[in-house]
Amino acid sequence: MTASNQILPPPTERYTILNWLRKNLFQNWLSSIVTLVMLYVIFVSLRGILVWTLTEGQWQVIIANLRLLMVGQYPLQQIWRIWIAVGIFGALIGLSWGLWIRQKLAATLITLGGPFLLALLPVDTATRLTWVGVGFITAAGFGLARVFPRFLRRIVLVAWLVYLPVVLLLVRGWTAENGPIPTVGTNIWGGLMLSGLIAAVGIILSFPIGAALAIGRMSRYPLISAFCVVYIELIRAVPLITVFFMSQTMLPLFLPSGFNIDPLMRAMTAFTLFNAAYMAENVRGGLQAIPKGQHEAAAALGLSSFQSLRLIILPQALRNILPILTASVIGSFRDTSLVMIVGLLDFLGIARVVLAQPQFLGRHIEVYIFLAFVYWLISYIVSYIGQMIEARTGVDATRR
Amino acid sequence: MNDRVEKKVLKWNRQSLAAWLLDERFLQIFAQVVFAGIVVLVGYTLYQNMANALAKQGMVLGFNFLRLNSGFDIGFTLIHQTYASSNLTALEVGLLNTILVSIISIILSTVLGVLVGIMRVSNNWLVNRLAWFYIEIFRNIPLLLVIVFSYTLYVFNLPDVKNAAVLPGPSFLSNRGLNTPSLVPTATNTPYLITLLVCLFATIFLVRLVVKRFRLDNFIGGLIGLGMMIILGAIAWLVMPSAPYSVEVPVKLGLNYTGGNVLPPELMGIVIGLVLGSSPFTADTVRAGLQSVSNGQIEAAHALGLSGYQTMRLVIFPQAMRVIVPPMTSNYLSLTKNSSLASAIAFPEIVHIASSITSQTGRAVEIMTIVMGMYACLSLITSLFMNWYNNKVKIVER
Repeated sequence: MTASNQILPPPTERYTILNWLRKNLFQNWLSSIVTLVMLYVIFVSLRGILVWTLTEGQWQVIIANLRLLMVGQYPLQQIWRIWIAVGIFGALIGLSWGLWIRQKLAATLITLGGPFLLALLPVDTATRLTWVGVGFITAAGFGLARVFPRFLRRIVLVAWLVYLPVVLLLVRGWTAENGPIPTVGTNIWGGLMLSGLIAAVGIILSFPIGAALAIGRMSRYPLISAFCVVYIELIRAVPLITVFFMSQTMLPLFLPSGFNIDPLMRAMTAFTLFNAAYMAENVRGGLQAIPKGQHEAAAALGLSSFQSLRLIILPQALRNILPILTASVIGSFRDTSLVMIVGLLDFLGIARVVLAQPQFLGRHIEVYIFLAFVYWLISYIVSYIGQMIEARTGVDATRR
Repeated sequence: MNDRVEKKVLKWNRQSLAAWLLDERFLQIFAQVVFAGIVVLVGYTLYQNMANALAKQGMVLGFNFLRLNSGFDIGFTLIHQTYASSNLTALEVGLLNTILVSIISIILSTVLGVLVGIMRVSNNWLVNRLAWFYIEIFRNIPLLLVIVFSYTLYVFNLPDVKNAAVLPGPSFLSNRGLNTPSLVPTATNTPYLITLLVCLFATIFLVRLVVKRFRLDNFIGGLIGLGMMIILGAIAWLVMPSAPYSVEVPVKLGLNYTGGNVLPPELMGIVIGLVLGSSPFTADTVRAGLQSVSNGQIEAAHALGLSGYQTMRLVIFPQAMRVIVPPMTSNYLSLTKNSSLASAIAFPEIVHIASSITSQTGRAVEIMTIVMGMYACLSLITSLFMNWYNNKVKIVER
């Protein structure tokens, strides 16, 4: 092929600054007026926010209560267990980043530098040093993954799978009061850790249940599909908060007498069952987008219906719904804040405890802004990771 | 001989049994029977456990408690309710409050969302980015946090009654809520309403005739009708021997206002929170709808000589609505469900009242069933309405 018959891409537009301003801000007189008004509004509000943040805001309330906000009333002597969980998380993130997403230099630097950034927070020296340690572990994971990519791939996948059960066990503990790892009752778990755990359990467990419900809904057995339809539609018709209330008051009634289930377990069960209905609809969307020819081709190749589901249909369906999955993961994380209403001390719940402290009365703006920022940051990170995975699995490349 | 026949029969039987067991039709029924059996068994066990647990507390399932006195006053009611009213009345109050909050929030969040959505497709870079910023912020913060934050700001950061801000009306904005004047019906109220109704029918008839005769746009016809109604209503008001309504202005009395309407801080908090929290989703839906109309359509409209307004109204809007309405239905549905978060700031909507009644009577199972049934009905009504609207706006194909 010669250069002359190659189709050139359209030229990209280039502007000088003045041209850009005219095109984007001062197209006509109406646009110019709007721009000027907007600039004034932005100037005034930015000035107000900056002045408030730097002079009026008393951020001492956050600094003094940082531990409470993060882990609730988890006993101080046992906090090393949470640090171990954070360390393993850092290592896994580093390893996964090194294995699968290494091209983006800026994002890699931010990921590896994240723990070091957290070490700059104005907290006590021990915490800062631990963050530095977590940073080194993350970096080590990244390095290891670069050196032994082939060897580590399967191990890291398995490690991700067992990570949550291990963390739950570690945080809960299993020995008696005076043992090395004493049990910490779920009633004193709290803060961001609790939100994260509820979200993680809810999302991960709801996925298989949701997939089963979706497949059941599309099944050709009328009884099974009717059951799935009723379950999904019933759950989707009611607010999450009623499901939480129901779990708190009714779940103990449903269980055989003598079988106790603590409030956190109740909330997690409710959250999982609720999420499963929404997850089922997401998965169904993905399944229905697969053309019929794929089923028929799989059948023609002699695959059983289970094989065709596992090898042909589900992989394509999951890849199709990745963007929706990311959105629903973020949504689920935000929804965990509702456990506050049934009395659990999650991130938002513990904030109310902080605001009730007599020395920090009336500091609600600082606390809520901090909360909003953390929620926003985590949502942003999750959606960024979702975009990375989408890019890796090539959703765009196959989109017709 | 006999032996051999018996063996043959046995063998044949075994084969046919195997064939029969592996037959897909049998498997289909068998699998379903097993599934149904498991569901029934699990359901029965759960029910039995519940009945046992309730029996231990000395309770039997039943709805008689609905007729008993509720024993608490509700702060914000649309119908008359006192502590001597029944639990059923309390639930009704809650349902009405839920509907009220949902309708107000749906209207306001649609207005704000459409505005931000249009800003999001603006050619002006600053406007565009500002809308993007708004959407990104409020989409990634929990709705409950927005509601609690707006309520707390309302209660703690607005002036108290003594220094209330005076708004036109005169209305008073303070941390006790928004006090507005109210209309109190007088003796001539009923004839006035009847006159209005007659005028309404006459206007609809006339406007239809005019629109048909002069081939006017439906929207313009609507504007003419609205104008006519306002003029007729004003004339009727003046013609009546005495004014059909008297205006009651809120008056400061001690530490609070008397007279007029009051929108309590809880209501303001939940509405502000719901509007801020839901409008980003509306905005994104509107943006997607507007961007789904291809540029060629707009260019074609210009080529036909349509004005900017006509292009918007006749070409872009009808096509965008087709994309906007279905996701908007689920937005509205989730907003209605999210209004239950008002119970976090003690606004007396259905979930809040239900949990009060539960703590008074201990009837968790029955009350939760009622509440879930009510939400299911609300969802059903909303989606029926939106489906009807969707059928109206969707493009009719051959």
